[in-house]
Formats: sequence, structure tokens, C-alpha cells
Amino acid sequence: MSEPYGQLGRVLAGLALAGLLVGCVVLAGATPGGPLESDYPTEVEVTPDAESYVGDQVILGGFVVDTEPVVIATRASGYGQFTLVDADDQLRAGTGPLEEGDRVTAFGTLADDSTLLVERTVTRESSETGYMLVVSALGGLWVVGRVVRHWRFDRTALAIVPRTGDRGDTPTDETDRRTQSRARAGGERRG
Amino acid sequence: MSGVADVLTHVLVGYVIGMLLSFRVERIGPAHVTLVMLGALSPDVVKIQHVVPDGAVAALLGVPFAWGPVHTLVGSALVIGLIALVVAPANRLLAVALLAVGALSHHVLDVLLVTPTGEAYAVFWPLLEYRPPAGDLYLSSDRWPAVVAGCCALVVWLIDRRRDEPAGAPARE
Repeated sequence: MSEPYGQLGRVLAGLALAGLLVGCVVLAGATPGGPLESDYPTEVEVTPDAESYVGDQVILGGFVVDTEPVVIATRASGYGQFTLVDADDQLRAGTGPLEEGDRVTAFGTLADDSTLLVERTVTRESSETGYMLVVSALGGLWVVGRVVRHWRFDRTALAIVPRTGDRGDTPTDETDRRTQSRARAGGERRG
Repeated sequence: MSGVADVLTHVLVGYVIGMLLSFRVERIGPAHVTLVMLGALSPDVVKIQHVVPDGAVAALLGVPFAWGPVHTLVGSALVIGLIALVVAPANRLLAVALLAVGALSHHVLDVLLVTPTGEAYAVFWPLLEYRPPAGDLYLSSDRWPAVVAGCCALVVWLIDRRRDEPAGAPARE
């Protein structure tokens, strides 16, 4: 099968898709929040100016510096301390109760400039970041390996096709022609 | 890094779905299973942000920039379209379908993640700002989803090996 709209059509389609994708990433960069970040203020905004967020719902990420009651520091220096009310009770996942050094992300309402009434808490051990990186790299390499093993670049079609032997491998026009001419040549020789 | 289950789990789930499809559909071979896996991986292109952050790209290009949209349904549709254009026409439609199945499985799994706010990410952005409620099933750093997906992958791999044994070959028993 040849390109249904020719190679020019293919390039134009590619440019259109790439243009839309670029539009999306630029739009996301230009709008605060974005699809993956939540709409609520985080410790980055709240820590330096907590008073102005009192009464608001905020997300505070940090590490536990005290457990009775739970106090977190949003900065590595230990600065930006907030008391988390009900943090253990609202723990969604991870192994509770919270211990010193645990990384937590707490969502709730800021009662005063250093107290958060927690609605939800999520925790993660810091060692898990390394695990995530290794395991993610493994997943990525597996897919790359399979693509290389099962697909090849066809220079006549300027596209990738399944390697021969894979089910679903449909010969391109060029190989069709080659097979036909080979068959014809064989026929002539025999005749 | 929150809001993104680990890549390996997604790829394993893509493998399982692809293999199950290959049992059902004659046309689907190993190359096509790879497409489901690639589709399942594709939203995680967003993880480039841990190596090249939004701000670095923005500074380099001089325009506002965020990787986030890659990890939405719209972003997935565009990425799938681009990958499909690289595939030869004879396989293109099937490629779109298989990549889409993989990408959809990714988004379903990621909406099920625990989030601090109880809301998942804006799956339909930029069409809708709506954030579906989070499934609260697992953390992105939990290991059991990868273990479960790995076991399922092992099972389909074993089934596939049995199926590939030539017909008429003497039974092992």
C-alpha cells in the first residue's frame, strides 16, 4: 500500500499534529496550574506568606520534624514549619503512623499561619525515588528493545514495517513488484 | 513525580493487553504487541521533565512551556498520530488502534492513583478542566502494582509459549 495522500500529505499531517502538540505545551506553560498540577496553592507559595492563605485549601509538601503532634518543615533547612492536625488519621496510603524524616504531602485548610487542618495526607519514603527511576528506565528500555527487534525501517516506503516473520507483515509495493518479477523471471527460465 | 505510576507497570500492562489481543486476532503479531506497549508508555514522555524541566525548555526556546499536556488524552491522541505516521500505511490504522488501547490503559491506571487532594489530573485538558475523583488505589511508588502486572505478564507469556508449540507435536506428559 502506498501513502494514501502521498508523502506531502503525510508531512503536512505530521506538521499539523506537531503544531497542535506544540500549541498544547505552550498553552500549558502560559497558564498557571496546568493539567497535572492541582489548582491549589502549594508550599512554594504558602511558606513565605502563610498569613495571606489562612482559611484557604492548600497542599503542603515537606518532611516530618516532630510527631506529637505531627509537624512538617517545607524547606530542607527545617524552615517553614506547619503543625498538621489529624495527619495520621487522614493518611491515605503508605505505612502509618508518620515518623520523623518521612516525606509527606498534606492537603487541607490553613487554620492559621502555622497550622493545617488536614483532610488528606500522602506519604512516601525517600528511598522509593531511586526505585522508581530504575524501574522506569527498565520499562523504557524493554519497549525500545522490542521496537528495534520487531520493526525495521523500509527505505522505499520511508516508514517502519514489521520485520519479516512477524504476523501482519504486509509486503510493500516495492517488495510486491520484486516478488512478481522474480516469479516472472523464474517462469521465463522454466519456459 | 506524584500522579505518575511507574513506567514498568504501564509497559507490563500494555504487554498483557497486547498479548491477549494477539491470542484473539490473527493479524496481531509480536510487532503489534510492541505497539500496545509503546502506547502504554507514551504518556510517560512527560517524565522528561525530571531531566529537562519546563523552565529549561522555556528558557531555551523563549516561549512558555510545560510538559504536562503530553500526559492527557489530547496529548496522547497527538503523540499516537505522530507515531502512526512513521508506520507504513498497510499497518497504520491497526497501529493507531493498538497505540490508543495502550495509552488508554495508561490513563485509566493513573486516574486510579492516590493523590493528596483526592482529585486526579485534568485528563481531558485542554478541552475540559475537569479533574475526575482519584481512584485512591495505589501510590506511584507502591511496588505491588508492578508485581501484579509482572505476574499477569508471566502468565500470558507462558500461554503464548504453549500456543507456539507446533501443532501435532507430542504432548509433554
